[in-house]
Amino acid sequence: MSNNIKKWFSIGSNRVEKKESCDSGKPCSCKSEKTNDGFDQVLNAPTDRRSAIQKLTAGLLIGAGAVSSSCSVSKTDEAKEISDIDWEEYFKGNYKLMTDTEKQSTVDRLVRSYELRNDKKIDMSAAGPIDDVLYGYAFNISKCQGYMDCINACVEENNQDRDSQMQYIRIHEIEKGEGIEFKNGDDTYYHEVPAAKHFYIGTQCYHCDNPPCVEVCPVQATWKEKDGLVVIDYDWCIGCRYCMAACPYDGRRFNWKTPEVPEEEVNKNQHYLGNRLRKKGVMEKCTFCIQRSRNGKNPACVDACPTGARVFGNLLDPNSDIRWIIENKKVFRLKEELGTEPKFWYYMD
Amino acid sequence: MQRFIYIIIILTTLFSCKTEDPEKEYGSLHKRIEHQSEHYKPFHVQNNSEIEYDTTQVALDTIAAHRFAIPKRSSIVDTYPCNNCHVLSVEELKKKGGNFVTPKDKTHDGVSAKDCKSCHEYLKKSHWNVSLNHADDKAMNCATCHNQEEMNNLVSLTNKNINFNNSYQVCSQCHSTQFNEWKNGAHGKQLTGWGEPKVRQTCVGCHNPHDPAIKHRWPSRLNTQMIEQRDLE
Repeated sequence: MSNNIKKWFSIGSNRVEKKESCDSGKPCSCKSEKTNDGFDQVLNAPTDRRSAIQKLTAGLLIGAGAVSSSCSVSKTDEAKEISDIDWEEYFKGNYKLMTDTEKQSTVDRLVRSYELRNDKKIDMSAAGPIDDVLYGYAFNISKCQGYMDCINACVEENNQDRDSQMQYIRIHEIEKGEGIEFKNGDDTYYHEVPAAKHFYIGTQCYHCDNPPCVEVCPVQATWKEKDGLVVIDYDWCIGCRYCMAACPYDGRRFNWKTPEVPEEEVNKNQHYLGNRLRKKGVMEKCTFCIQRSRNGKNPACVDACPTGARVFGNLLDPNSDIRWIIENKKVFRLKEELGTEPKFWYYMD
Repeated sequence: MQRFIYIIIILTTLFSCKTEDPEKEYGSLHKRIEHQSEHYKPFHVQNNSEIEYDTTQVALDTIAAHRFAIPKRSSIVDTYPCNNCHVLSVEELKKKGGNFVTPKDKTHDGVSAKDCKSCHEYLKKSHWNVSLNHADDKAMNCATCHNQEEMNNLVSLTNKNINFNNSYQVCSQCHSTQFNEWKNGAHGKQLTGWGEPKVRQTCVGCHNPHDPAIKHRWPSRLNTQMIEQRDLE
């Protein structure tokens, strides 16, 4: 096979000829074919004159800034290093197509960049999926009392914007007898809970096995990993919000502005595809706390829940709690008729 | 010539059956889970939690799914062991006219007046804050769970000793449905993570045994307000 296979979309060029699914078999970065990356992805892309000029101008502006600071005699070494890192980061490829070494080097660059800018060390991981693991989640609607401790834990764990309503989890208060009809639910309640004659149901990203959000992404910045997690490369996302529109579950959030996280509250234990700091104009969502779950821990919401309404586990482990629940309790999933196959089950006592 | 066409037709049918995406073979998520878990190997988690749990009392019964650890209780209860104060059985104490040791008893030998607070908070009697709000007094009193003879132990309905660390055995005598769900993982909470070894919170980890109902309270934060999000920008 030639090296000309395009695995990305570029302005003005035709659509991708061959789609590579990332969650089948080994991670796609390990595929034997040579995959273009970094400079190659940007520079070898066939393009027309108009978009070439556009790109050149954008590149020139950034390049000129970087060159002027990195070649300047008056600038400090740190400033030069920052512009070097920015240059490399600007031209890096899609995370999904990177080899393991490339993944590690972009993570190293981001850690170094944060250290240079904020004088603090963070711990960022590029850990891949564990073999024989498919994550699943169960939510007991009889147990949830609407305390919302899960949301607090989620916001802190995932470095979410403290200023806007970014929360990945929504807890809906629904009157008993109304059925699970979200339009009748109260999402803005603030009173002593549980309120009489009401029940509580939480929604978040369901990490569908057949995710519609992944299908619609024009730049393949979101995909399903081998362990079933639907993830986003925040550096590849162009912020078109197609995925937000495609999600039938209101699972995705958009950064309308630069997220504000106080420096002392930043969770330093990060993952490239998880809770690292985001920027303005990109999508984000629940990742089942990828930085925790790939370490064998439970997501922060599960740990924080005071009622034990949240159960997390490995669907491929026949002895796991979640498997027992799915096989022995009365479970249901939302909008099952859509065929999205969410890996998030609701059950009752 | 016709034979040649037949061969081509047969070959195309054979090869077109092969799907490229292995996941599509399963048709549904449940079938995929069932098939892929046939050769499952357990994933062991490094224990980096501060919870002290007992791996020796893991096996509840022979079913593999029921093998999990539970946190130790006796190290959390600060007045344990109980016979620090309750040297005598309740019966013997009652003969002396009360449930508790008196200042003249031998337990108080060598104890100065300054040390009262270590057992008697604010000079009230010990356990002054315990009020039993669990079933009604026809069904339950202190002696339903606490052994009155050997004070360091709990007691079963048939008067057998139960260790404080195995308090779930007391609860499960009445709450058998909850016990069944707990040992399978549908009730209660995982403590260390989703991998092996499994550690599960015990009944008394969440429910105060003297007042087991989960209380009403205010939510810990305001919920989302969708309108404001749209007005941003």
